[in-house]
Amino acid sequence: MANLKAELNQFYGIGSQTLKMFLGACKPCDKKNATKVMVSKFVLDENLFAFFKEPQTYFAYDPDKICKVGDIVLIKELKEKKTTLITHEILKVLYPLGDITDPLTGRKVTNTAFNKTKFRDELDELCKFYGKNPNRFIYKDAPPRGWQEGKRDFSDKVITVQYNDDGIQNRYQRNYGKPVNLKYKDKQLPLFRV
Amino acid sequence: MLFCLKKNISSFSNVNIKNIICLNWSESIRNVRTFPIEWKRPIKIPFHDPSKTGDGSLSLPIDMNKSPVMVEHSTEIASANYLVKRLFTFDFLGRKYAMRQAKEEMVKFVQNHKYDEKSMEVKIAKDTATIRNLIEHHKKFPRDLKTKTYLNSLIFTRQKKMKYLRKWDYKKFEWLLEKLDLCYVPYPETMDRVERKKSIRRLTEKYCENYKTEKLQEFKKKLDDQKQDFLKEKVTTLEWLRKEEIECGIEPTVSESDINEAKEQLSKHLETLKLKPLKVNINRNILSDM
Repeated sequence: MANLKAELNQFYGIGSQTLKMFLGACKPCDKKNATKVMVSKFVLDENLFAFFKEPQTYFAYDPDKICKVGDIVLIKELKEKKTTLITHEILKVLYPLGDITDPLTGRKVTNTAFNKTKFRDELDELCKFYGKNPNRFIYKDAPPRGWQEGKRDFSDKVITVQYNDDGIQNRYQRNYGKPVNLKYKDKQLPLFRV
Repeated sequence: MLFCLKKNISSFSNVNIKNIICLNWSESIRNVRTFPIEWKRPIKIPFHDPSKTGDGSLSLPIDMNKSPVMVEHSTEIASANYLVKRLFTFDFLGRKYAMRQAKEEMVKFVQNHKYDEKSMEVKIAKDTATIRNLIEHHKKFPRDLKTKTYLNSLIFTRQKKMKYLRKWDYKKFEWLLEKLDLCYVPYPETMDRVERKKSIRRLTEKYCENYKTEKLQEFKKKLDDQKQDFLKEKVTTLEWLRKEEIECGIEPTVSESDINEAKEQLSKHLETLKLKPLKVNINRNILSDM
């Protein structure tokens, strides 16, 4: 037991100083030097006497923007806070989104149908068997993730509801407007009430 | 009541007191426009608009003068009369068959092999073909409610499939967006109601931030303009100090390295002025949820 305690003290630190590490998923964030990380924790409900998941958000410091939206990432608590918000630091990007590797073999994986997976090497062999389509997707020629950001893929930033009609099209805003009531359309209402 | 009006509104410089007396209470306020912000309620865009669905090009390549693939390869029809040829076109078969072939062409543009029908890229391609066809139908017959509900549900399900593909294979997802001319905009996490007072408050925050940055940038520019003259003075005074101290016979407090440093600062500053003039980024995204 003594050895185990010593090991634990090495890992967690002694006394009040503690090293806390969390596993979480990145979320879209407009901050410059930080990313938003969501960690789900099990919290005990004393009335029902059962554990329930509760999401908790942290802001981790990364000026170089290592991680992208959706990546699963390991974060550590900073000894000194950068700001009031930024309390953590990113250690490692463990699992990038959309690039799944099999932990046993170390090969890359794709999906062939809903809830059905296959290795990428095997898919090429299957295509050879049935006759390859020249228009199909080839993994070797594909550029890394992020070449469609801001052009066609708008999942990298926070998306809000459109609240003002500027006349400029902003793709990071979604329109949920009500149909205009023609009674009050031409009436000029006062902006300010004194 | 009139006295109260005079006292309250005479503080505004734009308003003449003579006009207020003849006008009503409400009309007089409408003429006052000291507030520089204008808010417009966003008008509802229909669900089949390309900005909502994400379809770049909404037209399918349907030719009614074409004939189906089975007929094109036959030798008998190639040598037949032009009237017989015309009988075997989509114009006589129907638009349904033309659309079916256009869908097959779209699938061939994407699929891995001939028998690939269950992969996500094929499912999305099939959905886009039907969506683009039904949007044209909906514009002609807007009261056909069955197809309208089917179209609305298809757009949602296609978004779900795109979300699934993004999670599993991001490279393929990005490739598919360009192939089919699609856009992916996820739904917002929090649904805020659009309100008059709330949105004006947001706009004022934005306006104040922009105003602050403009003022700061102006002040910075004023200081930068003085920098060149200051550095020139610094070099001349340091040289003059060193020369005077040596002539008086005192140990010089200013070394030559200090003068060289000042000269380097001046040369660097002159280079920066030539290379990049100052630019102001006022329109940055200040409104964020954090």
